[in-house]
Amino acid sequence: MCGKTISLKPITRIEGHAKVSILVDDENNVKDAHFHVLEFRGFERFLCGRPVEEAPIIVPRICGLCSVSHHLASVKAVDSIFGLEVGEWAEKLRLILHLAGFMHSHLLHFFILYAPDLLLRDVPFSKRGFTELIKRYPKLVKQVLRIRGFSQRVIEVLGGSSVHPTAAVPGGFAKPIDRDDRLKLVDLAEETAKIYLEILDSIENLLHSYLDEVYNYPTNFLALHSESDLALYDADYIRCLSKEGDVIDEFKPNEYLRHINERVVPWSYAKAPFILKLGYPEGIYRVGPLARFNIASKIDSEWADSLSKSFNLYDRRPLSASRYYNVVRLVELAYCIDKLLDLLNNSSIERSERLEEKIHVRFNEGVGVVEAPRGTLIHHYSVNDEGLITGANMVVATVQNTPIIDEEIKLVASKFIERGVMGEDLLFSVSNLIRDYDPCLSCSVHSGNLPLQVEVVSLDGRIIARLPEEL
Amino acid sequence: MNSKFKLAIISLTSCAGCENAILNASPEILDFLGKDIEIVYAPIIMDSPPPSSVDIVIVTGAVRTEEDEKKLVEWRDKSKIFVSFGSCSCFGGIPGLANFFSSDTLLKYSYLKQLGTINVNNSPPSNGIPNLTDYIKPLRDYVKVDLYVPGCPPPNTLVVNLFKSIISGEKFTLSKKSVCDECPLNTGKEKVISKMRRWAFSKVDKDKCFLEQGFICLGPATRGGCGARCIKAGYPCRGCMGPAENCEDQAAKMISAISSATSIEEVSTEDLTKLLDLAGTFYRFTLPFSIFKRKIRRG
Repeated sequence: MCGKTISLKPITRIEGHAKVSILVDDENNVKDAHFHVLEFRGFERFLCGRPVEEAPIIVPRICGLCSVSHHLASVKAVDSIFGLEVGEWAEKLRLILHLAGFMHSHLLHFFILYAPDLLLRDVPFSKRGFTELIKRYPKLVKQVLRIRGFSQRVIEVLGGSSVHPTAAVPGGFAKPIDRDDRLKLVDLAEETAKIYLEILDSIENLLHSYLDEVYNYPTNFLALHSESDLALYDADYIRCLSKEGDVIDEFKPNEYLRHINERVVPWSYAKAPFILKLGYPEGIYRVGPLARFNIASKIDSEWADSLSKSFNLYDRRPLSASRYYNVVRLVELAYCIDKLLDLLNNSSIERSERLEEKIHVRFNEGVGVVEAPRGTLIHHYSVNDEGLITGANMVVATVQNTPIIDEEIKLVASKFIERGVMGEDLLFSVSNLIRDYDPCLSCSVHSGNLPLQVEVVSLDGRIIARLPEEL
Repeated sequence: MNSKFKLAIISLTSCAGCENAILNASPEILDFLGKDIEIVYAPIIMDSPPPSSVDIVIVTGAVRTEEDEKKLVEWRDKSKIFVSFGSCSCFGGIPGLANFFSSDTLLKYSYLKQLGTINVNNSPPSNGIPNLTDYIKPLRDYVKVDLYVPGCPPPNTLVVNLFKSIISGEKFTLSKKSVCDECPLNTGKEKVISKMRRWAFSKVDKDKCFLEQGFICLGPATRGGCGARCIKAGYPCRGCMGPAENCEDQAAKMISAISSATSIEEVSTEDLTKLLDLAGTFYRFTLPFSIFKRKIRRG
């Protein structure tokens, strides 16, 4: 058999090391596409032997962008191993930490990593990036850094460090917030709301025209679900939707192994999760902002709700075009700012709760689930009677999206390759598509950072094109 | 002065938290960027192709794959000043805990034995992806490192100081103090420990030295400069800034600090080692950099 593979590497402006290869036959028909995640660190194995109460401090290092999510999913798993009920105050502080984590991650993705695709279209490919963005849009960049500074400040004040916080401890929260700090954060939150509104105004027209170019790409979806609100931090159930938007499965987080499995694929350190009921590959699915929006019964924030309406998002559910990921990210940003204002304005967060003094292992297993900025995040630990970890499994957001990313790359690449176009346009379209998903590759293999290169390879293994040529 | 310093930011196997920390310092360093320092290559934030040489390279992450090894040597050759940035790059970091196991064990666990994992080929992934190195070694074992910027991630002041020193040409220095020296819970008196305890399993007094309460805190063995940020947030130090000045090895220093403050009679050393995971705690961020380095397989 002969044919060829197109390999794209590095894919830039994403978090992690990845490469794309596109396999084509002699007639330039795309046969397959693989998004290779190139890193692996082995967190699941080296957590074994560590005391389980240390896990919430170790696992944030899986990812420096969503360290808050790993910290919280982990501490939830540990709470359940110790059989601890978390009090109202501690839950509020964890929630504030979580929302701030969402804010910083979404702002970084949309306005720093993704924005060049939107705002620097007239700039040569090789110049697109943060430094050019500062030159061309100094005001926007400063506004974004300012409000991102607010979210990082919240994480620092509450969590102890803006990256890799430590304050969520088994059964509660270790760091109280005093009045002075709270009021300063309220001021910053109010300023943030104002600035974010200005930012949205300044890009609104551009966004509308950019959304005119979308194509639909129906898939299954999975996210936490609650009847009353967008479930970012907690919910009783994980829900799965079909391509048509029907509920196909619903289960308690701690029953996840009976509903989703992960398949090892030979071309990537990231596995391919799928919904067991549908099998592989029919059961592959998307997670993250798009999935959450499609699955949410209600969004309990006036601002986020009206923003969704202004982009006609409700009418188009289930949203299936990958570009809508970005718009929903903007909606979630409004949601987070709205909620943070509300939570920070309440002086009851100043009091603190005593932590349980006698802790012991009540259950030998624990599962903790949150929605991370990029999607559903599951931490699952087993421990011996002394509380030393004997097994760890993590299903992270990005890894769940990678099988769908492979499929969509195939679709996008065919349009170019079948016309014989293999230059920068192909590289740009493929990397732009990948960035819609905001993949976080450190997370996906609990591993580690590399830009994207695309290779076109023949079926007999010859490299026909490599973009860019060197890294 | 017209000539800008050309800077590259390179990530080996890492979590991107260090890049995040650089961005967090951006309000303070934004003024330098574009004026005194030009970022010419940083795939995480821009698309530009790699240059043939730069003045400074900031390297984050640990060497976990053969590709990391190659990249590291390439960028050393291209750069005048080589900066190891963050605990992974300086000491191996948290991923260095993998040195308790062989790379084969790590892969088999995740891809063959893991719950809910289906592996039809019965082997770890290997097509078109780089092989793992057997163990994580610190960067200094591969190349000459000019500057170390420790921390997981490096504290804001350190990031700003790094950029200032690049521009001014003044020597970049690290704190000679330990975390204990910066700690608000340090009374300055000699520490007395009556019993070692396990964190989270007993009552914690947040206003009293953790070590004196019997909880392992790496303050005495760890370089300052972080302002004891974790302790201020209610968590004992886990040593991310690496060994303190004149301290070769964090575990050795901790054992001497604990034994001089305590008479361990109530608990056997074996129990302590097992329950408190001494190796995994004392070397939480520095296993590959330590005298211990990695587990040697028995038999």
